[in-house]
Amino acid sequence: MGEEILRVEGLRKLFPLEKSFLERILTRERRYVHAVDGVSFTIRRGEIFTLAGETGCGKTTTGRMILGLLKPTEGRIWFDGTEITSLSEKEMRPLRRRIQPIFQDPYASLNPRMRVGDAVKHPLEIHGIAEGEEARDMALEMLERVGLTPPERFYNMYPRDLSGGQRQRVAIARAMILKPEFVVADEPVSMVDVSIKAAILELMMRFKEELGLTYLLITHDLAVARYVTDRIAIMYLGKIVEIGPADEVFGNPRHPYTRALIKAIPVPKPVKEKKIPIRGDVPPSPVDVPPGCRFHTRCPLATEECSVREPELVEVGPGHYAACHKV
Amino acid sequence: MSGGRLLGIEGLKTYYFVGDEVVRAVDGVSMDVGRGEIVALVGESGSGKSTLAFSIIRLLPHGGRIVDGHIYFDGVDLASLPEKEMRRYRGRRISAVFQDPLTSLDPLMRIGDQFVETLQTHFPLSREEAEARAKKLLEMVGIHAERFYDYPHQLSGGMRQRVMIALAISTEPDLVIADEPTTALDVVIQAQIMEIFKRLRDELGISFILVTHDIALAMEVADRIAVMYAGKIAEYAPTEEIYASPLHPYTQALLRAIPDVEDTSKRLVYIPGSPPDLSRPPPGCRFHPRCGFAMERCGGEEPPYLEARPGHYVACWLHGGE
Repeated sequence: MGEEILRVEGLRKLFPLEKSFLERILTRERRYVHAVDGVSFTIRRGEIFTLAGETGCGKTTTGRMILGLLKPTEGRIWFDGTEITSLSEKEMRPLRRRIQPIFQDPYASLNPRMRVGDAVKHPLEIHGIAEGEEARDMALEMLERVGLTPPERFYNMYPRDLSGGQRQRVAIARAMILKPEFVVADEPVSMVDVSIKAAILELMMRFKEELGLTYLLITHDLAVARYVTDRIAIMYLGKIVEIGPADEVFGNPRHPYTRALIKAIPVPKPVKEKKIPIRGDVPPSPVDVPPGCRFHTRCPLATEECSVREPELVEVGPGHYAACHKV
Repeated sequence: MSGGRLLGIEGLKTYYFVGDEVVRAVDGVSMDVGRGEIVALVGESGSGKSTLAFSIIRLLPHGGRIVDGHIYFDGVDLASLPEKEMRRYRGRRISAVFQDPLTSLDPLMRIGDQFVETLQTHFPLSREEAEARAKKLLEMVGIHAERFYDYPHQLSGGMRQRVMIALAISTEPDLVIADEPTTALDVVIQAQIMEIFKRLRDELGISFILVTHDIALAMEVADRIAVMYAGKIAEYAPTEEIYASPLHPYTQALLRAIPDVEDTSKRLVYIPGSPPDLSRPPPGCRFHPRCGFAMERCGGEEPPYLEARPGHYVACWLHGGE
């Protein structure tokens, strides 16, 4: 594994809560959604690093801050040695080419009125890399590389003419045509049918080899993460509760939440009795974050201490950390 | 099938008429559901699984119509029943749970009142009796009775889906159709909801049709699994058989395509190509353009749907047929 390519330190994002008219008159206090609440990690060049967790854990918000689509409330992000959170839009420009996104829903991220070929070509023009015939040829070549063949036929199609899997291939082509170094893939296969999920993952892996890419994979699907991840961080209500090499975290999970999450994943086998790992539900939104350990309200191991003192991440194995008073 | 046949579908065809196009969403499906069993309808997008499920209660989107076949429910053919009589079944003896409970819960009505209204529509109950029964129903799905006075937006997604399930069983139905009921929920909550389904099956003898794209989930909860592809059932068998000895190449390929968090040695394989456009399905077996075992015959003649082994149905030329 290479040198550090991305470092995130003390990242925090609070969204002010919309107040109703009456609340605005009656109260002065502002309430916040603690979407990301103090997250730190590093990603090394050439690795696949996964942020995983359930709805509202802050994984997507973290990804959007790294992509520069959201300003952090607090904390800093370094990309290849440059601190990017304080950069102006203009200073950020050359870096944008090196950091590319792939989103969950290509329907939402592709312009419905733009031909597939033009959508793939567009980033080349924006970044002044190529134009005209040259850009067109590069787009055709890229369509071929993502398996949309014959490329001439796909070039003139519109997103609505494509299947979900084909649209995700277009989104990948668009990201890869800039030869990025770092790709943030947010739920890249969540909306893709099972029969072609593996094909999309394989395509992403091929680009990793060819371009020497580094991936930040954001997913709720631990089964998918298990297949491709080098290191993984499990998030819960805005915090990382466990982080480490994938084999360690899956093989020897230490945080009770990680254990529950892994246990809850359906495995393709008939089972007679399934143990329900944990009771209860995540709070509808991370506004009233529980005091102490955020997970203590649902944790089977929780004690008095857990409801008052917040646990820190402590090393439980080589490069493997968990934030729990009980480990 | 433990408690005898509850539902028998024979040669069902449900098409969508969109402009000049005819989309053959369900194109000749036969299957049965027993009393007190969970049957999963598994398939990818566009396989016809939801259309099949909603044909049963005749809740089809605009342009959708049953064009042929029978749906025998407890001996009565729902496919040809006048709409007025259908109302004695829909929402009463057969109820439904959808992916997004907010589409079926009234946002302006307290949870409890929605129960009271439903219960009083179907049973001669006083307000007090209906309230008592509602609280009992909520308890059955693990929701504290104090939630009775909440509005839907005050509940988490998982709780709303529990409320939906409680509401669905409030009319004491024989069959509940659950269309991707946990797709919008997290895995931990999904496991809790599936536990509720199994308990209702075991304790009340309710049958479930679970429509899902997730075969792993189907394997965990269903007694039998019907694998659908392009408007047809490719294979229908007890879950153990689908797991241990799948016969249809499509089922076999699907099982190789799903990630298994407990088995890291498994190499994921994908199926080349994509499912067909159902307004222009391929001739012969609809899976043949993507099938690794396709023979000449598969492209010309449609394979019959046969009982290849006792209780194990498959439509494939590799497994019988003259």
